[in-house]
Amino acid sequence: MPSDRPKEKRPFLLDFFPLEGPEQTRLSRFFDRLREGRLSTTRCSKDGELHWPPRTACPRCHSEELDWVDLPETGTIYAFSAVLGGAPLGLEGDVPFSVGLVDLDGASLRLFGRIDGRPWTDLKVGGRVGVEPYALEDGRVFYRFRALE
Amino acid sequence: MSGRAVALVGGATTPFGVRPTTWAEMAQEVGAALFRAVPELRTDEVDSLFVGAAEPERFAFQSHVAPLAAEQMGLRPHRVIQRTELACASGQSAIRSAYAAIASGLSDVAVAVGVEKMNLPSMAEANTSMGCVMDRPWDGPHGATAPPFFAMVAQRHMLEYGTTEEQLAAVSEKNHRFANSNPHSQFYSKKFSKEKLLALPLVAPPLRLGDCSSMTDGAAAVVLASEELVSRYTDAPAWIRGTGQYSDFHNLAHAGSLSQWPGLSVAAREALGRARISVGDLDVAEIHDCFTISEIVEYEALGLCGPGEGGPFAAGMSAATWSSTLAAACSVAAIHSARPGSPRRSRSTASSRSRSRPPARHPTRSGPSCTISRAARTSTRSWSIRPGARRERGHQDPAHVRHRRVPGAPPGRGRGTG
Repeated sequence: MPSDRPKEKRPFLLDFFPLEGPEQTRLSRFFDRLREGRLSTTRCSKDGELHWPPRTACPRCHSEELDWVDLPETGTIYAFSAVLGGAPLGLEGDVPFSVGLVDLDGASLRLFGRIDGRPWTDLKVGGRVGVEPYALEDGRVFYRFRALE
Repeated sequence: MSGRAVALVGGATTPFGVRPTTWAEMAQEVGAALFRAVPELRTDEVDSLFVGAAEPERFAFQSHVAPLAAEQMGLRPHRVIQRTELACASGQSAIRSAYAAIASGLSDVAVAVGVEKMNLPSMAEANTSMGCVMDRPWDGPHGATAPPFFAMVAQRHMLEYGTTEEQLAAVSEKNHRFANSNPHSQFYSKKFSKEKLLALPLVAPPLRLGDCSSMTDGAAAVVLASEELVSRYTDAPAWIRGTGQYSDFHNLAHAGSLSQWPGLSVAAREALGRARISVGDLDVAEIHDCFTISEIVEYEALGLCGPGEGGPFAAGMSAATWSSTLAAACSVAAIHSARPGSPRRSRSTASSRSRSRPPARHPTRSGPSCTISRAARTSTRSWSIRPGARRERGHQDPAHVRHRRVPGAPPGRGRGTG
């Protein structure tokens, strides 16, 4: 799992990345599974609703009995742009970088995320991407997309 | 609408821009400007205060800003005091909350004020704060801020409807041109032609620098009063006739098509329905334009043009000139000068209805009276509406912004005279 940021630990209120331990969130299993290379989310065991982001209660029926399910590892770009300036703290060094909304294959979910692997000028709507978990230097994990073509 | 009738009876703004002043100082500044603009208003008559503030914790390192603003403005609210926070709609929400409090009878005279101090020594810190508007732990780490989100809206709109960069620039050109007639606007003295705008650098493609509203510091305040008290402050109030609101999504995964904003259509229908008017009755619409593409999508959501027609409509609006000045409607509040059956129907609008014409529904048709002006950030300043305003080219005439009592109007009470 690649690890390339953040280079330094920032105060919590200047750090976008979530706290992921079981002492801080009831969704720590999301990060455990991500560490295993699986992007996952919750599905309501009562009404079958697939959630994003993962939840602790179903927004439709309010059941708190939810299951963890893996998400597809590939998808297509629905929309994208690039940050060519004005990046937040910790991301200034990444400029220029691309972000986009991705329709996951076979799932009714459109996820937002970084799209790495190609300059923004090479991306296109309908382009293929893969899900790529990555590690932060302090041991936390997150995910992004990587252009496949 | 049910409840008591409520009107705006006056207001003021500070200048907007990169300003060498603090959040609290701007609250003082707009308070002073407000009481100058509404000389009949006494501080002890203001029973309620609504403070719109998007992110003072991040940008000014200050929370609990409603009591802070009250103190800075010299107010001691004794009915309702609260802050409203809805990103770009924070100030609008303050006005709407004040309206609701007065309509319900909880308040009689309320001030709604919005204050934002956005320019920080570190631009990266400011951008970090902007990122907190998003679903921070899920969208934030990817680098989500407003420009790439609205850029994706623009990309989809271009893809689905053929909207062009030139049409985006037309929105910016028009709004900057209007800003050139408002001394309080951030770019009052800067001219932007379409050619110049199209040559500015990309910020988040396809959006260029001129498609994005700037970080700004400034404050604006309005006074609202119940129907029984309106004549104390002005003889030409702007009655709030209808208002609507809808929350679509927060996490970007739920943003839908991007190219259409159905929630705004729901809110617009509610506002117009409450006001018992149709969009064709509007003479003026002030439309939020945090990014040029938002104004275009909002045209469609409000029903000013059909779905997908926002781009050509923008080009048509850009060619329009000032033709009427009475504020009529905006994305959240449809304001009109009298409510049906109100005995206090003002002279200006008693006759205006027959003169009004529907806005042009197609850009190639020469519509006489639909003027879309830039959102509050650049179009507001000290004002009060008085009879006859709609017949003037008011925004080019500094005299119209002065509060003026019309001879023969009901006597107001001077501040401090008891």
